[in-house]
Amino acid sequence: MHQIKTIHEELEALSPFWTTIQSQMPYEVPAHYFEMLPSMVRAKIETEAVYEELELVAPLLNTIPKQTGYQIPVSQDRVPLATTTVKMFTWSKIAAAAGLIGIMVLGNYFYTSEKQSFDYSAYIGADHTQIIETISDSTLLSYMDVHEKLIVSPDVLVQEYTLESEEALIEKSSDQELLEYIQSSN
Amino acid sequence: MDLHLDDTSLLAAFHNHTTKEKGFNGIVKKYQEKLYWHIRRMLVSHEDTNDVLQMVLVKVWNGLENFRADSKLYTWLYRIATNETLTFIEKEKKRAIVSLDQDSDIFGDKVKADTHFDENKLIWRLQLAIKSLPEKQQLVFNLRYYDEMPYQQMSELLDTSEGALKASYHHAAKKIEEFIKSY
Repeated sequence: MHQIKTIHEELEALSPFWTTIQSQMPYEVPAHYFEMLPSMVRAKIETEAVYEELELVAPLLNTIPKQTGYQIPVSQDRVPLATTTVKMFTWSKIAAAAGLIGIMVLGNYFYTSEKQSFDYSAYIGADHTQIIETISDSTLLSYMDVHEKLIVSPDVLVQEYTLESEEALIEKSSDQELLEYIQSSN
Repeated sequence: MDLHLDDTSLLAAFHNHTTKEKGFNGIVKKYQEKLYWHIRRMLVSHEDTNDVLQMVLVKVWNGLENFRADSKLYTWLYRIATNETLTFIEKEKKRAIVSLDQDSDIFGDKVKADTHFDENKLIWRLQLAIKSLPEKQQLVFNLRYYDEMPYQQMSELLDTSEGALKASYHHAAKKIEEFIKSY
């Protein structure tokens, strides 16, 4: 207190002008600055420690900016890029799912429809003569035109094969062939 | 950490491995405002002050390990802050020369750039007047006028005799008075 009084007296002794002046600073400090300063200093100490460490090991790295070079789109027209990608991804998923469902439905349809159209027991037991009578002549003729090669004409001779007897086969075979046959049979 | 702890207790806490952080935080909390205003009176801008103050406190952290109580902690902290501030001012001046702007009053302009600046108010004219002084004289005036520092402590801090400091202070006060009257 005595010290402060001395300081004011010192100035007043120089000039009465100083009695009109307030020793108050007009500058402002951001709110909570002094509350945050210790933690900011702590963070800076860590940053400095990292720098010093690298300076000893590989000083060149300290000269390179730490930015990665990658950029995050900020403009409005680029933001939908991510949205579009997401949408495309969604649409592709929907398309794949729809295709899969389609394949399953078609597969089921063909499977069940084939079962219905090929009723083999009914086919085997059917009276073919009666069925043919229900088909018109023109349909039969056009069918025969298309499948001509498959229809056996009575004019074509069919070679008949008769099975040879075992004795005849043995007589025709050589000893070597017979020996191989006996060995393979055993 | 109790802010009212004396410097010896804070230093003891810092030198103890388990309480080092607490000791340092205690020192920061005790002196941060005084150091802030010591720097800001010279640099005017909060952003510049914040940068320099953080730099000062990092140096304190690094140097406190070797600090021996040959001088008072308070004086030692002020010395670091003063040196860092003067170094910053020199850099700013060099930058002004490089940008061919050496005729401008860098820090006077910063005072005028403050959002609350009002040239009709005496407290703002006082700031402009202080900025018109040479840096060393500003320091002496600020330490005496605002921090109310005894000449003996100021002598330790600035390595200048008490007589020279007193003369410098009185000279500064007269120049400021003239500046304000003629503004």
